[in-house]
Amino acid sequence: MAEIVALLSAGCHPETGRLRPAAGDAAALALGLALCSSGHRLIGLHAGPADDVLRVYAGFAGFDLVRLDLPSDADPLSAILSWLAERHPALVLTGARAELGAGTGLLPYALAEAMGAACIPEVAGVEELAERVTLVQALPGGRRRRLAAPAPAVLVAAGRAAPPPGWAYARALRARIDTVPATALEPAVPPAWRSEPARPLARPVRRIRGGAAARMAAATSFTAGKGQLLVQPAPDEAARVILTYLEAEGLLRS
Amino acid sequence: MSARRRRDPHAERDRATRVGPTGRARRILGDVVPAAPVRPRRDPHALRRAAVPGPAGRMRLDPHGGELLAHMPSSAAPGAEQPIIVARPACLILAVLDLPGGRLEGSDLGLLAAARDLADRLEGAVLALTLHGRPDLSRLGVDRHVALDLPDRWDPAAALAALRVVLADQAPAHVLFAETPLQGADLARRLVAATGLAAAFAVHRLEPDEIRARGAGLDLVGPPPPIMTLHEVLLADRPEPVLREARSVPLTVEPDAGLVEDLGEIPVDLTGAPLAEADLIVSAGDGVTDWPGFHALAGRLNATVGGSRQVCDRGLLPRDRQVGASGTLVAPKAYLAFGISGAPQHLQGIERCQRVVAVNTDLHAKMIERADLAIVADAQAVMPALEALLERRRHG
Repeated sequence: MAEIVALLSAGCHPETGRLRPAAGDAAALALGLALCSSGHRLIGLHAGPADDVLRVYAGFAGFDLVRLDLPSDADPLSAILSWLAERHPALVLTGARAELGAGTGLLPYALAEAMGAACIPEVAGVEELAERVTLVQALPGGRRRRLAAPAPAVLVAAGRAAPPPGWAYARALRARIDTVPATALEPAVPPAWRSEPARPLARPVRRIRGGAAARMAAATSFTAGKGQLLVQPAPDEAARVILTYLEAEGLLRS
Repeated sequence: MSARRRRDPHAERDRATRVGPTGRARRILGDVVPAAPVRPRRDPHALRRAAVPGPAGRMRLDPHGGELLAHMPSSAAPGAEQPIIVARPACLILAVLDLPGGRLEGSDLGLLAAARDLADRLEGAVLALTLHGRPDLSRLGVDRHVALDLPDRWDPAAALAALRVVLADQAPAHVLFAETPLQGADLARRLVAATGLAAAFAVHRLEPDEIRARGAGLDLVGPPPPIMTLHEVLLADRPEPVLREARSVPLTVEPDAGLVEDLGEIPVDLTGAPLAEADLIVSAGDGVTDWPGFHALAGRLNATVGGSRQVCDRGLLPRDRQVGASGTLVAPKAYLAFGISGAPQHLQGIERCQRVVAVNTDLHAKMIERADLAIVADAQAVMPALEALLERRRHG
C-alpha cells in the first residue's frame, strides 16, 4: 500500500501562545488517518528543533513520526524535499498555513512545483488512492466538487475541516519519534522584510468619492426601504417575483 | 372744543375698501385712492415650482423665466462625457479578477478600487484580467482589459499559463489578487511558486512605499513586492464610477493540459450546512406555522435553514440555526425571511447579507423596511406557492 506523509507544524494558541496542534495540520492529519484505515501507511513529518511539536499530534492516533532536525528559523523546504525524494510518498498532506512565523501558505505550492506534482487546496476528503487520487474539494457556501489528479499530489486540507476525533495524553507521551539530521540552507538573498507585532486590522471602509455633494448625500440618504414592495399580492404572484429575483442574482441551483 | 375734525374710522374704512380683480375686498391704505385696479398678488411659490434641473443634476431657480439656464451646458447632451485615457502610464497595475460564477462580486470591485488607488499614486494604469467572460469594466476604474475565455471548469494550470502570458506580454509592475480561497489566493501562490517572484499575502495596508502583510501573529512590513494578495479589509472600497477607456488588449493563450481533472460538483444537501458559510439562507420567524411547508421549500431551494431567536427558543429549530446577534452573524448572497418582524438583534445578524427578501404580514415591520424585496403577505400562502413554482420550473 502507498505511503502518505502529513506535514505537521507547530501550532500556537492565539490567546495563550501555548503549543497546540495547528488547526490546518490537524485537519490534514484527519485526512491521512481516514486513509490509514484503508491500509495505507501514514508518516507525520515535522522539520524543527523540538520533539514536543510532534507529541501533540501523536495524541490523536498511533502513526509513524519523523522529525527533521533543523533550527527553528531555517527554511524547511529543501530539507523536506530531499527527505520526500527518498521516500516517494503517494500523497503529501498539509494545512493551509502555519500558525507561527510568516504564515504565507506558500510551502505546499513550492513543494508541488519542485516535485512536479499537482497542488490542490481546500481538500475536504480523499475518496480513493491508487494510480490516481480522487478527492472532494470544499467550495464556498458548503458546496463540494470532485477532482482527480495523478498520484504524487500535494493536498491542502480545507480551512473548516475538523481535526481527528479524540486525543490521549498517554499516547502522546508513549510516541516514538525518529530524528533525521538535516542541513539548513542559507537563503540566497536576505528578504527585504521586517516583521513586527501584528497591528489591529483597520476597519474596512468604503471611501466616499466625488466631493462635498457626494459626502452630504451619503450622510443624509437612507438605503433602507429602497427596495421593491408588494402589498398583499396573490401568492402565485409573490412566488413568481421571488423566483425572478433569485434567478437574476444567480442563486438558483436546482 | 378742539378745531380738529372728529374722525369716523368706519366711514374711512368703507371709503378705502374696493373690490379687487379676484372679487375679494381689498383695502387701500392712505388717503389717495388709486384709480387703477389693485396690483395682482405675487405668488411666492411660483419661482420654486418653475425650478429645472441644472447641469449637475441639482434643481436650479431661475428668476428670469428660463433665460439663464438656456445658456448653461446640458448634461443630457449625447457624447458629452469623454472617457479618461491614460496614454503613457508610468507603470501597469494588473488586477486579476475572480468573477465567481461569471459575475462581479464585492471582492472584485474592492480589488479594482485598490488597484485604481495604487495606479493613481504611481501615475500608472490599471490592467484588469478576467479569465472567464468579459464584463463591462469601463466605469470601474479600468484602463486596459485582457478578457480571456477559458473553459468554465476548475483548471489552475490553464489559469496560471494565461497569467504568465499576460505577465510576459504586459510586464506589469504589480500584480494584485484578492485573498479569496480557491480563487485569488490560490492563483497568486501558484504564480509565486512557478516564477519565484517576491510576494506578500494578505496585505492589509497598501501604500506605494510601504505595505503591511498579515502573517501568523505578526505583520511583515516592507516595500511593495511584484505580487500581492489583498486582505478583505482592503476590499470594502468601490471604484469611482467615472468613464475610463477599458481598452481591450488582444491576447491569445493556448490552453495548457493540467494535472488536475474536474469531475464536477457533487450534489450536497445544504439545508443543514453551517450558517456562517451559507450563500442562500431561508429563515423562519414567529409568523411561520406551516413547518413541513417551510422545510420542503428549503429542501427544494437547497438553501440553508435559519431561524429567529423566538423560533429557536421554542425548540422549533435547533439552536445552531439561530441567526442574529446571539446566534450566527450570516453573510449570504440572499436571505429569505419568512414571518420575521426584524428585531434589532436579528437585523445585526443579517447586516452583511447582500440581498434580503422578506415575507411578512405587517407592513410596518422593520424587516420589510430592511428588505430589498418586501412582500406583505402570509408566509403560509407564499411558501407552498413558491415551492410549487420551483417544482413546475424543474419539470418544464
